[in-house]
Amino acid sequence: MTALLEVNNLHIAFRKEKSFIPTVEGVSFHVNSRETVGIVGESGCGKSVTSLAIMGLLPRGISRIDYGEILFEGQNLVGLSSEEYRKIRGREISMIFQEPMTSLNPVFTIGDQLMEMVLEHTAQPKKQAFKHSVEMLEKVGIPRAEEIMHDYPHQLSGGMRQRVMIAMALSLNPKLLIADEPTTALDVTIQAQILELMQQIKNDFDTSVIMITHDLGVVAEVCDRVVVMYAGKVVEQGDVKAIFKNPRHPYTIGLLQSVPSLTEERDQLYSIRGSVPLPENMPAGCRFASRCDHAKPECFEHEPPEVQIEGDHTTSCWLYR
Amino acid sequence: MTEPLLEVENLKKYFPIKKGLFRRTRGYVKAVDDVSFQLEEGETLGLVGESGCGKSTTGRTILQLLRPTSGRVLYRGQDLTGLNFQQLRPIRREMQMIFQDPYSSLNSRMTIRNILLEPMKIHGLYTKKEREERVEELLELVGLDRGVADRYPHEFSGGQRQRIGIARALTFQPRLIIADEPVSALDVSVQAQVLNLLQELQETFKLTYLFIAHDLSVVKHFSTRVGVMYLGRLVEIADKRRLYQSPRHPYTQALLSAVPVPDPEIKRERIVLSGDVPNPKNPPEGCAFHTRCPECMEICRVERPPMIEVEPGQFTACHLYS
Ligand SMILES: Nc1ncnc2c1ncn2[C@@H]1O[C@H](COP(=O)(O)OP(=O)(O)OP(=O)(O)O)[C@@H](O)[C@H]1O
Ligand SMILES: Nc1ncnc2c1ncn2[C@@H]1O[C@H](COP(=O)(O)OP(=O)(O)OP(=O)(O)O)[C@@H](O)[C@H]1O
Ligand code: SF4
Ligand SMILES: [Mg+2]
Ligand SMILES: [Mg+2]
Repeated sequence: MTALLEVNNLHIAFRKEKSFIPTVEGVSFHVNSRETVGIVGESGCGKSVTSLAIMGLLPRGISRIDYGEILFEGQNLVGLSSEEYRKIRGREISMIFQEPMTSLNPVFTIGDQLMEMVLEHTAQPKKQAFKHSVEMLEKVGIPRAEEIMHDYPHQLSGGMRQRVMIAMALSLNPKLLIADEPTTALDVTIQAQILELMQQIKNDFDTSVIMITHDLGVVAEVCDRVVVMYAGKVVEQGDVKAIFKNPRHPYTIGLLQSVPSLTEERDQLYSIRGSVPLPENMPAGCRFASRCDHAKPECFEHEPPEVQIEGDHTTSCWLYR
Repeated sequence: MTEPLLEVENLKKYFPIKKGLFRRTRGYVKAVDDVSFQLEEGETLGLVGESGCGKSTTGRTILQLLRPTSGRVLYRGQDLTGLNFQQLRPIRREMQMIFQDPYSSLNSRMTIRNILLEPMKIHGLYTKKEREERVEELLELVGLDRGVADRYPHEFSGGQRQRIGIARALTFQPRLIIADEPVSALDVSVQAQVLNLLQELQETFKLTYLFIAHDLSVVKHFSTRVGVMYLGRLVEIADKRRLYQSPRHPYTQALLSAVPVPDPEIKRERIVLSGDVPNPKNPPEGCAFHTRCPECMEICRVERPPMIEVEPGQFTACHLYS
C-alpha cells in the first residue's frame, strides 16, 4: 500500500540574524489513506513548522527547506511553484490553524470567506457556491446556517468559529486535513463536540487527518498512529496502542507519566527534569540526553539511529541498539 | 472545629455594561453571582469551570483587587470587604496570587533580582542586606540557581518564569495563595515540575491554596476539595474523591465525561452537551444551566436551585435534589 502522504528526511531552517538555524532536522513519517496520525511533542519542537511545510506556507525569506521530500500521492511538493501549490491547497490538502481568530479574516463575513474558497477552485456559479457553503455549515452542526453566512467572525463564539474553520477546510472535500491544535483554545465540553464532529466527518468524507496536539487524551481518543517529536526530530512513532502501552523512548515514557490521571491517584507526578535545549545550541548526541535518566556515554556523543521495535513501531534511542 | 482560614459568603461581583453616548449602564455581567465556600488551613480547594464562568473574578475579589458588589470575605474571621488600602496592606502580605501567564506577569525590563526586591521595597520591609539575602533564599526555594538573579525574564523558559512568579509570591511567607491557572500555559513535562514544586512548598510552609484551573485531571491531582462553577455560580462543591467518583450536578457529570482519557483502550460513554455556554450578559432564568441540561425540568426554567448537602460534605445546586 502506498501512503497518501510521505515526509522523508525533512530539514527546515529559520533565519536568526545572519545565519540559518536548523529547526526541523530529518523528520520522516507517513499518513495512509483514511488514517488519523497524531503529532505530539514539547512546545517549539517543530510540529507547526512541519505542517506549514506540507501546506507550502513556510514564511518566505526567513525560512527554507534545506533537504528532504514531501510526497503527496507520489508527487514531491518540495519546490512547487506558488501557482502549482494553489491547486493543491484547500482542494487536496487543507489545514485548520492553531489560532482560529488569525485565520478568519475579521473584515469579511463568514459567507464571503467560505464562498471564496469554493469559487477559487471550482467553476460553480455564485448561487451554487452559496448553497454549498450553507450545506457545509449545516454539516458541521451550525444552527441557523443561512443567517450565519452574513455574520462576521467576532460575532461567533470560539466553538462556532472552530466549526466554521472546519467547514471551510472541508468544503472542497480534501484528501488530507491537517488540524493544528484544533481544540486547545476551547472548553472541554465544546472540545468534546468538535472531536465528535471531526470523527464523524472523517468517516463521512474519507479524509485522512494529521492531528497536532499536546493533549495526550485527545491523541488516545482519535488517532490511529502517533509521531512523537522532540527538539526538531522524531524520537518515536507507531500504532497508538503501542505508543501508550509499550512506549520505548525515555521522552515518550516521561511524557506519558507526567500527565495527571483522572482514574489513578499518585502522591507526586513524575517529572522530566531540566528543559529543552535551544535551537541555537543543540547538543551533539541525543537531544534528550541531558534530561534522560538512562543516558550512556555514547548518548552524549553520537546521534541515535532509528531502530525498529515491532512492525512500524520505531524509536531513535541508543538503549535499543 | 477550628476557624476556617477563609470564608466567602454570598460573594457577588457585577460589572456594569455601559453603552451609548452618555455611557449609561445598560445591565450587568454577573461575573460572580452569590458564591459561598470556606477554606480550611492547609487544604487546596480547586476551582474549575469553563472560560468566563467567573473563576478569576472570584480570586481577585477575594484578594480585594476587585471590590465585591456585595457579600463578605472573612480572612481569619476578619471581613476584608470594608477595609481600606492601608488596613489591607499587612493582610495582603499573607495572601498572594500566582498568575497564568508567566510572560505578562513579570516586568520585562526588570532583572529577576529587582522583580523579587520590589515587593519588599513597596512594603518597606527588611534592611538592604536582608532583602538581598531573601532574594537568594527565594530563588533557592523554587529551584533556580542564584546566578540567574541578574538576568531578564525573556531569557527564561515558561516553566522557569513560573518559578519566578512563585518565588515572588512567597516573599512574605504567605498563608494563602490564590493560583490562577498557574500551569495552563506550560508543556506537560514542565507542568509536572511546577505542580510538584507547589506541592513541596505547601508541605514546607503549611500553605493553603485556592487553585484555579480548567484542566480537570490537574485539579484532581492537586486538590483536596473541588468546586465547579458555571456562569458565575458555584454549582457543586465536594471532597475531591466524592466529586470525581459520584458527581451529582448534571453539569459536573457532563464536564467530567468530556475529558479525553490518555488510554486508547478505554472508550467511555460521553455526555455531549448541546449548544454553547450562554452569554453572561444575559444568563438564563432559573438554573443557569437549564438551556444545556439533559435533565431539565419545568421548575429549572423559573427557579434558581438552592445549594443542598446531598451527601456529607457534598453540596449541589440542582433541582433534582431539592
Ligand atoms: N516565523 C518564525 N520565525 C522564526 N522562528 C520560527 C518561526 N516559526 C517557528 N519558528 C521556530 O521554529 C521552531 C519550531 O516552532 P513550531 O511553531 O513548529 O513549534 P510547535 O511544535 O508547533 O510548538 P507549539 O506546541 O508551541 O505550537 C521554534 O523553535 C520556533 O522558534
Ligand atoms: N474588568 C471587567 N469588566 C467587565 N467584565 C469583566 C471584567 N473582568 C471579567 N469580566 C467578565 O466576567 C466574566 C467572568 O470572567 P473571569 O475572567 O472571571 O472568568 P474565568 O472563569 O476566569 O475565565 P477564563 O477561564 O477564561 O480565565 C466574563 O464574562 C468576563 O467577560
Ligand atoms: S437544576 Fe435542572 S437544569 Fe439545572 S442542572 Fe439540575 S436538572 Fe439540570
Ligand atoms: Mg504549534
Ligand atoms: Mg481566568
